[in-house]
Formats: sequence, structure tokens, C-alpha cells
Amino acid sequence: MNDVSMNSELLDLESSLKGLSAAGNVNRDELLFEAGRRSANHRATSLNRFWKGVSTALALTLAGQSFVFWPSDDKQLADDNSPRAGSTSREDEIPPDYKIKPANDSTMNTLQVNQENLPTRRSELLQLRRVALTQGLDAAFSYKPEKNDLPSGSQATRQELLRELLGS
Amino acid sequence: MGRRRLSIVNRRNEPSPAGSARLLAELVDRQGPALVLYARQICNEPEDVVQEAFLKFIEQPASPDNVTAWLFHVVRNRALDRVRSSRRRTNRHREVAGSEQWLTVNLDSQLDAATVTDSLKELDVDLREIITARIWGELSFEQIGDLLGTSSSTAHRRYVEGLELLRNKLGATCPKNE
Repeated sequence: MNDVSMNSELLDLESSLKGLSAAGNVNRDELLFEAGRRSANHRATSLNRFWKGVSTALALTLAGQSFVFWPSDDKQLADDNSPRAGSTSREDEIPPDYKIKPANDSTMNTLQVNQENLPTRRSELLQLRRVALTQGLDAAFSYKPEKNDLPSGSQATRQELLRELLGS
Repeated sequence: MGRRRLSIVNRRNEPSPAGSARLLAELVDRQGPALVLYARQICNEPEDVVQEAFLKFIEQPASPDNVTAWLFHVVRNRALDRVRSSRRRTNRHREVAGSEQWLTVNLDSQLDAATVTDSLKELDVDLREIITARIWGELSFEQIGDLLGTSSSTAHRRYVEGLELLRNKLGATCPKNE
């Protein structure tokens, strides 16, 4: 509609000018390369941002868990002074058969074990170890092997079993 | 104003890279020269400005309603930024840029490209902007008005004024209406 107001000379000039082409040129290859590079950078940045977020969240979770579940010193150490239920002294807890007695020889100042009731064969020793590991030392002290299972021919000396037990 | 999804590069729903590259290459081939010519009216690094505009275009999350008008807007803003940021250097380069060829001759053209270029250079910048955006950018007067911040009628009036000045400068080389 606006073109109507132009006279014919101007319209001819306009059409003649349209017959000329703009000489400017854009380096298309460089432009496409730069576009691809920026797109790749954007993807890499997004991935980096994602993994940074994930690792930060994991680190914070781990730190929070460590803070919540970190054992205090009171719980970490056994309270040796607290009396146990049903016992009045520490000596009462030790079974009489395994009670450690001071040696008769006071100059040596060593402890002597009542060897009468020590296990007498290797399987018995293993059972004793298992009891000690699974149920605790208290249960091991109160453990009494059954004498019926003892074959006389495979008996180890009590000294040998004692060394093995203490060595383990 | 609604914006349709960008067809060149879409970050969230990307077409194949080869297809994106082909579309961008076609757009550069079709609009690149006119944009460079338009940017040349304002600043002295037109290729850089146009390249920045295309790069900005492919970073858009959604395609503009009119890609050509949008590119002209971006080119103009970038070119003006360059002029403002380095006005002294630009002024110095304006004389150097005077020897550059702005137009090329087609086979059926009745005008000499060098003569038209020289005549165009003698016009004011705003007139050159309107003429290049209208003739080689093929923008409507409404789009040119939006581009320059004026009304479409003002853009048309200035366009006619520029053509008349150009016709006077071309003188005898202007084809006669027979």
C-alpha cells in the first residue's frame, strides 16, 4: 500500500537495485564450527553441573550420616566399673575351673592356670574358640566339654593345647 | 507473542546435528550477505557482528516469530554496541572501509555496483539502513519501523526520501522508465 505513493522512476530504481546482490559474506564453515563447539561446551557444562550436584549431595549425605551415627567415647569403651547383673564382684563371674590363681612362686610373679579342665583335643579347642568368638569370653569361660567325645588315642597334651589357644 | 520451537538447534529436543547444520548453513547463505551489508552501514566489523548474531540465534531456546527480522535486530544492536565501545577506532576505520565493495552485479542488473555503492555511501546512515533492510533484507516497512524504533509510515517516508536522493546521485546511470 505504501509502495503506491512511489512514482514509477523510484519503482524502477528499486527493482534495479534488487538486481544487485549484497557482497558481504559470512565464513560459513567457521560459523558452523563455532556453533558446534558452543553446543558441545553447553552439553559438557550441563553434564558437569549434574555430576557436581550428585557428588555434593552424596558428600553431604555421608557427612550427615557420619555426624549422626558417630559413636561417642562413652559407648566406645567398656565400662569396667559398672556392676553386672547377678554378680557382686569380678571374681564371681569367672568359672571356678578357669579361675586364674597367683603362682605359688612369688619371686616369678606369674599366673598359673588350672589345667585340670582345659580342652584335651583339637576339635574341642576349636569349639572353645568358636564359643569365645560367637558368644564372648564369658561363655568361653563357662564352656565345659563333654567327656564322652574324647577318644583316648588322639589326645593332645594339655600344654600343647594351651599354647595353641593362647597363641591364637 | 507466541514463539514456536526453534527449528535449527533445540537444546531440549534436538534434531540431528547434520540437519541442524544444514538448516543453519542455508540460513547463513540466504540471509548472511544482506545482514553483512546492513551491519556495514553501522560498523566496520560487519562479518563479526553477523557471526555473533547467528551464534546468538542458535543459542535461543525457541525460534523467533520472524527469524530475518530478529537477526536484523540483533545485528543492529551488536553493531551499535561495537560503535559505542570503540568509537575512536571506528571513526578511523570508516575511511578504510570506504574502499570495500558493498554490492555485486547480477547478469540482468542495469546498474553498476561500484557506482551504486559510492552513491549509497554518500547517504545518511539511517537512510542507508532503511534502504538495505528493505531492498536486500526484504523486510517490510512495519519490521523496519520496529527495527529502527519508528512507525512504518515514517520508515516508508524515509525510504522514499533515500531512494530519491540515491536516484539524484546516480544521475545518468539511473535506468529510465520507458
